[in-house]
Amino acid sequence: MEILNQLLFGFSVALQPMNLIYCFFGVLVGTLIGVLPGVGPAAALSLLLPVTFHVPPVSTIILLAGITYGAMYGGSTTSILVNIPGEAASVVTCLDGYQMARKGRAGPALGIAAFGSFIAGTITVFILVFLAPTLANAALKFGPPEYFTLMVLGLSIMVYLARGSIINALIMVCFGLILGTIGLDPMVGVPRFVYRMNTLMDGVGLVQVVIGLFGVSEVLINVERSFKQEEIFETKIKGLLPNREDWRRSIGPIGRGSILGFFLGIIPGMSVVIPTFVSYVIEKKLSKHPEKFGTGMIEGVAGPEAANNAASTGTLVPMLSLGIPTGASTALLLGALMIHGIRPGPLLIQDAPEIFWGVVASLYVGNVMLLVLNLPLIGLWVKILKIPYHFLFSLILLLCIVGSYITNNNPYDVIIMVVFGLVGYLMKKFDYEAAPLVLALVLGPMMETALRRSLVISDGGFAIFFTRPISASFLIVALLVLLSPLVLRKKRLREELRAAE
Amino acid sequence: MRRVLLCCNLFWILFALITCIEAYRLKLGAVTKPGSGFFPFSAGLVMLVLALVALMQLTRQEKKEGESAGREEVRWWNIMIILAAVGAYAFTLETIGFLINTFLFVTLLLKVIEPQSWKASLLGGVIAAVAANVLFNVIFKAQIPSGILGF
Repeated sequence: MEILNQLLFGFSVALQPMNLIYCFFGVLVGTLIGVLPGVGPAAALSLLLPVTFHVPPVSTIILLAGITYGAMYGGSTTSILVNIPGEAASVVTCLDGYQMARKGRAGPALGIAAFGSFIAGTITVFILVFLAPTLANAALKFGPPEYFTLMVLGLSIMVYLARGSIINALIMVCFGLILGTIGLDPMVGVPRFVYRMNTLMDGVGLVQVVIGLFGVSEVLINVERSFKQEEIFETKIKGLLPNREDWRRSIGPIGRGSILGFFLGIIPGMSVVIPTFVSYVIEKKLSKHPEKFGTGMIEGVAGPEAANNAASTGTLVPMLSLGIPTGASTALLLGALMIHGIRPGPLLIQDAPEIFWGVVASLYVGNVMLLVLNLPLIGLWVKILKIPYHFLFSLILLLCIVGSYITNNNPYDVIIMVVFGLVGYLMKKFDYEAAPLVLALVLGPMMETALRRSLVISDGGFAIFFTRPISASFLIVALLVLLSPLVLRKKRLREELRAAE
Repeated sequence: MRRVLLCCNLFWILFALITCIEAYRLKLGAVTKPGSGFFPFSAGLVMLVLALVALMQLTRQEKKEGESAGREEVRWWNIMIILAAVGAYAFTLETIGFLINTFLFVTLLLKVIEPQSWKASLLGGVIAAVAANVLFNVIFKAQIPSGILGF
């Protein structure tokens, strides 16, 4: 009962006119960003983060959460209509969504993506309401060793999920951890790797790194070859409401996608991308016609779309209740709260209930807004997609520059962004992933503090990580996650040998 | 590609070595009280080991035949122009100002990267500069320098 009262309090915060305006603005900008290829939600958050410096903390987080949500919706529109995912979480939607569009069913595909996301958002907000306070209570028992090993687990999962070589992903983690040590030592205040450059005193800015690695590098990859304008359906998109048969086939995938997405989203390093793939695979396995997946099955749109929306709510759980970001987007949300003097963690619910419950309620309000906003505006998003890339790339670059500059009004921040743009470009060329680097950069300073505090507590004994049950279990899982590819590879090798025989 | 990957691994080895040396200079401290260099030194050391393993794996791999076939031409100059233009934009922003700088930047990119007509490039530059100025300086009050124009 108390939780419901708190939730009602949250709605009273989220439904304040000013917060509604910020929520509306957030989902609108988020959808626009999601529609534009090359600028993901993290870059969009970076861009608008400095704008929120003059905004109250509750409104800030409502605005930024709206952007994340909107980007998910926008990404599905481009996946279905142009076969280009606006952001990574919509890659799977291309498989069946685009095929549905080719068969003249773009309307129901877009409709089920929007309704699926809305239903997932509704279900997961209620799970969040009950789970986050429980987790926060449990987290009160966490000390530095538990925090350190939890972050090790998060990085291990990120490495495990990397597309290419695991060694390359581990190198990226180390690179991120080293970058995270640039600036003043958080414990004793000694400058590290600064080399008399004042810009580096506060460390390498996450905003500049994210914009460089994701925004600028994407532009560089695109301009190295001649531009090709993608085909966009000229047919009128009508009948956005899915029919009864569509609903019958979609309701199961939406339910499964919601639960799966939420719980996978909670795990640091999992991000919102993996749950969409897992949801797609599960739906394919459960289907009576798995062979038809990839030819325009509505289940292949409904499940992953629900999963990506649910996962973005799930990622907020560790951020709000433990103070641990699960990826670049949540790191930026965390950064935004910290700028306003609010420290997310187990005590957030007690110390700043209006933030916690306001955000929870705004997630629901944001979902309603997206449903009302997106379906009628699909025509507008399609028009934006028709802007030729030779105009679009210069605007994307301009947004990247402004986003980097206005964080501190420092031109050298733009130079840092350019450097990371080039680094990101080379990483893409040589198959190094940016995601482990960013997560390590985000978690690095927290990990270092937790490690050093743990060693001080234990008087220099590393055994502290193995003797405390929670931290020991985190480490065991991390080890299993990292070692599993070796076992699996051997298995695969054996299978290949058997096949060859 | 193999040679490039070899260079990548050598770069990481060098980077890790420099990190370890620089972190050592920061003082590692004792295990009971780790110093400022402890964490970066450890990360550098792990990176060094990983890069060496990657290098060994690469040297053991047999050279694949015809791996350079089918390469597309890369327009390197486009990348160089963009990096130089963004750098120049950053360094001249406070002197020249947001409006003029944005106009010059967008016009240059539109004219050079995927060449458009002068009319389209200039029009694109003007629209981008005015719209960005209204959005960031007027609506968001981001206080980006106005430079020589003074507004």
